[in-house]
Amino acid sequence: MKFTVSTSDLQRILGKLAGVIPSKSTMPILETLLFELVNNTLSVTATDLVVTSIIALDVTGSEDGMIAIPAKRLVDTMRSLPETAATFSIDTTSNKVKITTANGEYSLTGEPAKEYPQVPPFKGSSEFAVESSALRKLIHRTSFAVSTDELRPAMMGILFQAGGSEIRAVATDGHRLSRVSYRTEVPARLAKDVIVPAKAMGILAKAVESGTCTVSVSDTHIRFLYDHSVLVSRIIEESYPNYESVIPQENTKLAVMNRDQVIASIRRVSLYASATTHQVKLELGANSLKLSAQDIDFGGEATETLPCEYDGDGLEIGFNAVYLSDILTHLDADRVLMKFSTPTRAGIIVPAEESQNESTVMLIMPVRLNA
Amino acid sequence: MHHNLVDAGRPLFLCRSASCKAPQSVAATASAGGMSQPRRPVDFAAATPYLVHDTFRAMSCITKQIAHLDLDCFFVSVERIKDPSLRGKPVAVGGAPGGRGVVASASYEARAFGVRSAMASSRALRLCPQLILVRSRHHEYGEISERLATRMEEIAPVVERASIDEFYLDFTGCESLYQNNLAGFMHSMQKMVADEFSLPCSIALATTKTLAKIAVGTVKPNGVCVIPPGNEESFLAPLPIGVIPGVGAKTEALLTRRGFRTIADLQAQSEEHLCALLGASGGWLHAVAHGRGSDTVSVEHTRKSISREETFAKDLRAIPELEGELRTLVEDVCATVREKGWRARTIQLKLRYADFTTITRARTIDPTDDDPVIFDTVQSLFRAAYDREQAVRLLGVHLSNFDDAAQMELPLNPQRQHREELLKAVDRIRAKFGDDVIHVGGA
Repeated sequence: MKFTVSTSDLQRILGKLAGVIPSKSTMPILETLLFELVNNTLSVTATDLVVTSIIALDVTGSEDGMIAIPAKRLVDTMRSLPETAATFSIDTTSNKVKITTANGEYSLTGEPAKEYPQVPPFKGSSEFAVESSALRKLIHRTSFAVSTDELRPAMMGILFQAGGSEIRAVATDGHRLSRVSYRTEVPARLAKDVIVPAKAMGILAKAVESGTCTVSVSDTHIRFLYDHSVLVSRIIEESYPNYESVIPQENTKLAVMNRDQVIASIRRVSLYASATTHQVKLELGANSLKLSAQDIDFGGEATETLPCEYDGDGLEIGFNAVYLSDILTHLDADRVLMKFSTPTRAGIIVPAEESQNESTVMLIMPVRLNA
Repeated sequence: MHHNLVDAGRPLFLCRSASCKAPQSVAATASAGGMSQPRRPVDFAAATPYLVHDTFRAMSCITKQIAHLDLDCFFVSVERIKDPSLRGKPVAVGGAPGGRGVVASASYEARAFGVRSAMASSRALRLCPQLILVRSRHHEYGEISERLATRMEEIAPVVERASIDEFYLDFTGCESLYQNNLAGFMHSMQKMVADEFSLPCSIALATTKTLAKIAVGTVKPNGVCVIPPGNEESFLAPLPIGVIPGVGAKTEALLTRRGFRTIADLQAQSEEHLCALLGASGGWLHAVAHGRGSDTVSVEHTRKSISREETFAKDLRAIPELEGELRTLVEDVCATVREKGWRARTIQLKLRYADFTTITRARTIDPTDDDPVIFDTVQSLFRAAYDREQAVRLLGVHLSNFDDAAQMELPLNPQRQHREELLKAVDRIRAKFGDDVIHVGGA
């Protein structure tokens, strides 16, 4: 097996695959990348058995073949090399890999390709195409709210729904919730709702660039096809909680404010919040928002007042500053609209202005304020 | 609140007491007690020097000023508050001699007969037939200790609770707040504990925690000892090696065989020599003998776990009986968790058999403060772990890995809210009518 490739091209695809490789695994073979050369096309595969990503690359090949190459050393080597042509000469019987550049020669030992886990055949049914940029937005605006609690496996992924001409992504950890819908120009339909592990979505968001992405699902997997690449992920076979029922419909206290201002203010005020609870208090008054925090254990308090558009009754409500600023930083808008009802019910945060084909709703549960 | 900075407009009334004299050299004096003095002669609350303290800490090589406060026969002292007739008599707090009771704390009068903590009550009674044995009320001692700790935090910026009856207070950088007379202030502090808590205590002020602990042992009971910086070695020199905390019977015997008697003998040796004798701990012992050692007083800001254990008067075998005990333990820990406003994720069972084999089993669940949920977890851990061939000596329930209950949850599970109301009501009923009047049933 032999091919010549540009180090920067190879480095670019290795960067996209590196996230798939498990950092600790009981199967050492998963810490390798599978290289397969057919004519002048090199396919590189990474898998952790849940997520599999394959990226194809045009190279100058001379002998076809397959080999599994230790990922870390290869990635580090490519990262350290300047832009140059590298020739891979691989003896598939002894599994010796030799990389030759104009100035150097690097040898490492691979593993036989047959040791590498087989990618299960994908028998997808429903299929639709979506702009990669929209998919990236859907993932970006929801993934931060995914739960890390292994006791609630359903919430450890992003829920994808597609029907009519709308694709929807939802994530919640029980403290905050994000629901993002995107209206497509062509009909999009998934045979069923699927929960995709957060890891797969994170890798996908980094890997998709421009153009479109074709999505299809099977009983157990979801597949994304984009720019010479495939990402297949097992889906979380659990039922997602009824998130619609927790989105309040009657939050009538509406405040509009500048997003950047609030984020910066929370950042400063929360420096004075308790390091364990990160609790900040929001006080809404006539056209003003007062943010305050107090650290009872160590002493220290901070207050800031910002202008905002508000003409309702006064309201005091507490939030975890981390959750609040997470939501605000993931909203793509200059101004945001906050909708509240009482200090013990969920607050809604949405962009004050949003493009026609997008709809974003974020929910945050308050913290009971100390009496 | 204790975290306020010193109020510049407020006068500092420190060390008004006549007993506040700065000792010029190593001083070990027994305080007179002074119960007749007016209450609170010293305004400690004025002295809350966070900023000063932190600034000093930031400077390297600063000489530390660490006080060790040790409550003298604490449990007995508490019992004596409730029953003054116990004063001046040999008293021990502990279990009854019939079962497997042991002495938890002995008065100095009882110690004169050779009664010691951890000694079987029956043996203590043989040594001192007139000994008055009082049943231990651990819960109450804990509460008093907590109150005292809160009071200490008004006095010193950093307070470490080393145990139920021992505290380290770091006064580094606060000297000027106490009129550069920390030594005299130790007497005031001792008097404050006597006046406000009616508890006798001994206090030592030194440059390291270890030294303060050793020093306090030399003046107990009811004494104050101050070791000014620079006098560490001369103070330690005449003391026997056994007073160093961490030097156990084995090490002491080994050192005695080699001709070491006092700490001066250790001081005369090189670190290499001690390391050759004792291995790694030689270096530590060399440092301690020269008055060096840990000088970091740390505060546990967040409690990491809540647990309850019960050693039975007689070993138990019957599962219903054991599960009944577990239920009581669970109710107890759950009430504490709810009081703190937390929810626990990790539930641990501790099981000790009659032969002292101890096993622990833990499970992590959805954060909860709900008795039946925690009981079900504990019960299933117990049923899986319990070896029916053996009798059980002790059971314990341990909760850790807490969530902040003030953070509200989205009602993705609507039953949860109803449950919260129910548990709050149960806690209120228990607080009013006692723990046994109501128990939470299954969901």
